[in-house]
Amino acid sequence: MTNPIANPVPSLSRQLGGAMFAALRFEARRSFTAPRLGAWCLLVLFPMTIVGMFRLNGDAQSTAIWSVLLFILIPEAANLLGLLLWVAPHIQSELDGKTWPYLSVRPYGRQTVYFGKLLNGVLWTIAAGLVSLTLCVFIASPLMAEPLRIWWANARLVVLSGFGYGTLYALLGVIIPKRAILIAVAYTLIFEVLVGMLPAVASEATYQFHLRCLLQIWAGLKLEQEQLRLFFSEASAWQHLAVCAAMALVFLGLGSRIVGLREYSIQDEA
Amino acid sequence: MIELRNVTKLYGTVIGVNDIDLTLAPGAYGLLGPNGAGKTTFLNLLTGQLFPSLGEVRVFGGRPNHPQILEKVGFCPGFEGMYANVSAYEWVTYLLELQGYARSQAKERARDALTLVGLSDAMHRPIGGYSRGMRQRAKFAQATAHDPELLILDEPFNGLDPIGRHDITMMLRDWIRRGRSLILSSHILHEVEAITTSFLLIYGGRLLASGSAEEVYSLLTDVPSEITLHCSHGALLAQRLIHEELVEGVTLIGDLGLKLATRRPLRVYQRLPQLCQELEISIEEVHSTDDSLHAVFSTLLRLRRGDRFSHAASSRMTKAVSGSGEDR
Repeated sequence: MTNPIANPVPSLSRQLGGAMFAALRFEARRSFTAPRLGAWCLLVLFPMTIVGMFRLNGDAQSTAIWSVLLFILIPEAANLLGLLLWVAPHIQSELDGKTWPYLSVRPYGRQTVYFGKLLNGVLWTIAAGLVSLTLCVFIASPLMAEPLRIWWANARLVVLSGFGYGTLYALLGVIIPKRAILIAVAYTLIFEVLVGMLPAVASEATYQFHLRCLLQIWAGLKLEQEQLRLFFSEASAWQHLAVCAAMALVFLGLGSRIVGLREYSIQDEA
Repeated sequence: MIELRNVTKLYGTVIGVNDIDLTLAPGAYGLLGPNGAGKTTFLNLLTGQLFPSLGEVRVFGGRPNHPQILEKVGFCPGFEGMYANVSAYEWVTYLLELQGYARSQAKERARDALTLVGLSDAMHRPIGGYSRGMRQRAKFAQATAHDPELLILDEPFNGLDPIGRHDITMMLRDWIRRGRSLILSSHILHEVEAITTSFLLIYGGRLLASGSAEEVYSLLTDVPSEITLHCSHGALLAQRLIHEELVEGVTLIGDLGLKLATRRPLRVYQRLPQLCQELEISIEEVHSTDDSLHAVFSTLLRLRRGDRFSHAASSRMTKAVSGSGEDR
């Protein structure tokens, strides 16, 4: 039916890499819709609005307060909202659109689509986070003592939060595709917010713990009160980065394994 | 090419397919069954989207969802499920890239495949603006663009106008002529008959029979035909038909309805006008249910269960079905 071009399949890694990039490119191209661009703009604007109100009050704040405020608003709030919208329902959106069977009957189609959609969602989120952070720092810079330091510390956290929470939400979306957003919200509230804020070892299993420890190191926050030290650790930035990377790899590996083995059927008839 | 060993698929307590045992050599097969028979479940098992609850499925000697097996299979689902804001060209190119082709090769193949299905002018338009027939062609193009050895199509004629049906039929005939394998599901017999003479009959999740049309119909020769009548004195007519040994069974339906089971339907049809005259009764309606595919399936299912019919028919049934032949 088509020209007899020899089946390429040069090597598995090249095939997978090419397919993954194709999935990313296709998803990125498909993502440029008015609703998504609108949501992206809202994500950018929401931290800016709050920072703008601070600017209107005109009270100069310390580097520590600005760093924490921006950390809560962008890597911990705007980023999570973006990932909830664009990563958590990545499988469900294909099932709802009944496009999954076309993708899943391709060699490694399930895994490449999983990675491609995850990466696309993460890049959209990180882009919104970085733009928002830059504009927030620009707006509040007259009130900041060290605007560049605050920006640089939070910019790295935006990237880390995007990839970290992205892999977590992608895994949740693979395990429970239906109501993935709801499950991800519940998980975030229970584990990342409640457990993550406990002054206990359990909190070290959350991204939030490692991200806030990195903020403390990178923004040079001084823990003058003894009680505050309970919420941070003595570990170095590299140790926190290693734990974040390990968690992301575990979530990615699990997600890719499950998406390859799981039945996601769209049944018109039984 | 395909082996199913005692395959059962359960959705909780609902049976999708039930104890299917089947071996298919390369070739073209029509999977026939009414809606809800289990055709889609059967095809999803072959494409590795579903896994059997019991038994084993092998396609080209391997697990259906193995990447090397998927390279040889093209699949066209029954539903549309395409991205509305993407052109057919972009979509088919993307799927070919997922198949493992480099972008330049994928583009070339996508263009060729879409041209072959007659979408050369529309391939750069968003799929959302396509007619049903055009979308069906695009689906066919994505399934065949990587030149698979086996093409699996789920209800490809659904919603198509006569011209669309004709075009798809021609494409599938061409596919078969080129020595490629095909499994095509449908609930309409003549659609499948126009493409292939090998049938797999599925009903209630069970594979009831397989073989050519003649082989399947030969199973039914010993099976009584059912004739439904609406007449003025049903009981009287029934009494006479039994007395003359023209029927094997009679069921009275209300005061006026009569359902006859007979192995000599022609003799019954010849005798009915005479009996009307002799008994002074009037017949308002005569209906033979055996013309429909549904009736064939019902009959085959009863045969498989061993209900009512002769041992000879049951024995032939066992031969025709490449399965256990007995209920478990």
